Amino acid sequence: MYRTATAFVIVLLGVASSVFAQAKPAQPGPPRPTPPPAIDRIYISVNGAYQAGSDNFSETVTFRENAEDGTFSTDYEVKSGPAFNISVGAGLWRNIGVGVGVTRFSKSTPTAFSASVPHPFFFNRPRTVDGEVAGVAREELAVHVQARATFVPTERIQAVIFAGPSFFNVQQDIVSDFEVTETYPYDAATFNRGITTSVDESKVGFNVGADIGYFFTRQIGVGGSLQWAGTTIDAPASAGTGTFEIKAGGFQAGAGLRLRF
Amino acid sequence: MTRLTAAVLAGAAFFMWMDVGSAQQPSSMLRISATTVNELRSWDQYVTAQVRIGDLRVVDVEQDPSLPSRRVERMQLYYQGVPIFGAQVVRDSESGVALSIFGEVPQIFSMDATPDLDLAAAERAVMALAGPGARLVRRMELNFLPMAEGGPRLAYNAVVATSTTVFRLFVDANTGAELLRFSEVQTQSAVGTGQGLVGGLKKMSVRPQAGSFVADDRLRPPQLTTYDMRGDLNRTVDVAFEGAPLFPADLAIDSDNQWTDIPVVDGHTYIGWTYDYYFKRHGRRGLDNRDRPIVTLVNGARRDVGHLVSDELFGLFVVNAFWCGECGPGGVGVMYFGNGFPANLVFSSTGQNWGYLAGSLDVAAHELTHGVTESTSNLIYQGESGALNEAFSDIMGTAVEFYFQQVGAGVGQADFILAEDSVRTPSGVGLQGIRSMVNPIAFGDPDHYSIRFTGASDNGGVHINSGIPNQAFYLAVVGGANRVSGQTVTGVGLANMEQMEKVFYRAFTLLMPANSTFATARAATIQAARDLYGVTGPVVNAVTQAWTAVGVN
Repeated sequence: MYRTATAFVIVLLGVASSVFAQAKPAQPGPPRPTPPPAIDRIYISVNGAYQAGSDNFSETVTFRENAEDGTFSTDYEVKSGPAFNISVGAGLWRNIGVGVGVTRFSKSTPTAFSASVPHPFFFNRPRTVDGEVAGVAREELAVHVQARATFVPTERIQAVIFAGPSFFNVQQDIVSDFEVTETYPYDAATFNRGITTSVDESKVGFNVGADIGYFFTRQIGVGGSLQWAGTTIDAPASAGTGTFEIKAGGFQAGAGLRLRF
Repeated sequence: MTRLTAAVLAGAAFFMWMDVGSAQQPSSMLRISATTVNELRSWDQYVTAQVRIGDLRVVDVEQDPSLPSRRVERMQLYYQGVPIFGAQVVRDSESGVALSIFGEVPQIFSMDATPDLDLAAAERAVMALAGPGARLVRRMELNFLPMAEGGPRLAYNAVVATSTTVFRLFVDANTGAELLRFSEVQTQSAVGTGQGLVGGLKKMSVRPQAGSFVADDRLRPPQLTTYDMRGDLNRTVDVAFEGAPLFPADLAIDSDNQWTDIPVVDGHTYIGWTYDYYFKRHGRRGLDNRDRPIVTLVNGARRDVGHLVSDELFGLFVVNAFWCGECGPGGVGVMYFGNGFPANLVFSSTGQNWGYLAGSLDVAAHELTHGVTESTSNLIYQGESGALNEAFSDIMGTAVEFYFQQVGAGVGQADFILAEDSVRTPSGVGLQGIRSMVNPIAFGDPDHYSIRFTGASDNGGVHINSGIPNQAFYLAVVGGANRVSGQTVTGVGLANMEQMEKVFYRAFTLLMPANSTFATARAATIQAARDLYGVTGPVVNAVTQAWTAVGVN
């Protein structure tokens, strides 16, 4: 994942330099010195974004019922979905600055569930139940601290590339138990519902990306951004022992309002 | 002990200091546990005041028979006229003086008691959550529902029934969202394991009781209970034949739910399996098809002294198992399994030792089938009808074995020998069991009508002449030639044994009169085969040939 991110930064830098090279005006006559466009100290971007699906994971839990071990498995799929992103950058020296951004991603996805439930009367005659647990939610809140490089090729265009650490907090619903409907003679059972609990874990990750804005006025414009931010979190298993991996974050493409002061 | 500030309850501005003990409780709930004078003085004032303004309403008043002077009031807590689910206060008093007050009530909260959803909208929300086919058991009620976090919520309380269960469902009275759901089917069951005579570890359906487990099956529809008579033969006789009462303390019990008493394990388990067989194979609900309870008695006589029991009781309570529909307390009916006698002793006539009769699945099923017969054809237990009665029990006993056990000749395996797991020669050589359907004559029983027993003993040979219909059933299933007639039968095959089980079950429980003869049984089974599998075909042919082969026409 970090190799991908690094490549992504290189591509972004290449694209940016290419764009800035093309943006140089032709010089038909003798060169006349012109001052470079000023870089404003504060740059704010507010994005509605789309986060590409980042994580599918599964968990198998062994439980004891009817004097025998049973298992249930849950396949979690965190699909792509809308996110919200806001970031504020401040210039420090020349085109170098720092910034901080916040991204929130929330997605509720049905989760495939299957279980092998021991029979109450006989060994080795488990009942298989399948179903779907609705509304298994993932909420990610990430705070990105960024080192920024700002480029202002024209008065109307301002571009930023950035990278830095991200602080992720993930709340992930996991299926911790389930209910089945069964009646005598108990040779079959049907899935009734899954019971979820929420895992709440935090971890530091990494972010990298680029933002470009087009300004209609001196201070207000629109823009787009591409960024990757992510980390891998070891979450406690619902069975109470062990952990399983949650991959938080992913690629985000966003667009929205740009302000500079 | 912890000193806590008690709450203002349900909107009443009532503050007090209260010693409520150190017990854990949800943060949103207040536990009232007042038993000392100081505690009672404060809480009794509070309760009385709340009753006066109507926030506590008496829902029940009980007199304790063991303490006639006491008066126990159960009161429901309301807030703005809406009951708070589960929030009750119980006050025990004597001559108007409170002696204890207990309760679990919410801490202070403030909330509008007017729901956004009306009853019809809430009902639609409940039905959507409950799924197709669900129905309300009774009218929904508006409640405040104490939640683990966030204080009480205004909710509609619904009891919903589906085809498989009944559950209580609370939905938010403002949004219709589900808040809480739990089953209203109040079973208290447990599954234990037991090591019986043969067949490895078995699961036992039992009931937890006071830290132990008792042999009381709560998972099957009828009440199946197994009582441990603990070797008290006199009491066993009194219970079985004199109707002496059984007490909860007589229930077979185990402390860790890993049962090791063979008669308890096998008796309790095999009774359940036999019920299962009849339900699954024939759609029958127990002995009387109405889930009649089955009381099982085991350990009536200890095995190590079984040979010392009087002759009169030896044949009944030591080397025997029986079903008696009129026996037991109040004529409830009793299933009894004898324990046999010490393993180092044998009957000189057969060289066999008799062990735990409960250890043979076919014995348990045989005996319970007598109960089935009793409530159906009620074949008279004498002469040919009596032999048919015995044969039907053997047939169903064998069928149950084949339903649950692997086919084979070893212990714990399905075969056409009766009681072979319990009645064995110590060496394992020679005759095992007590009757054979394959070769009845091996045990001295006739396998052809021409050599039937015609004496008066054994009720006219009910256990002897059963060999003839037993052989007919065996030939109809497996096929082969009768030893006497030499006539060959094309059986339906073991793989199709179910067909012949259904034929005999239909004939013996539905079609045959109480005084049936072998000839009647022949006609009834042929008719049953026609009813079930067509007027011609392998099933009708097999059963017809089988009866003909054993000389019954």
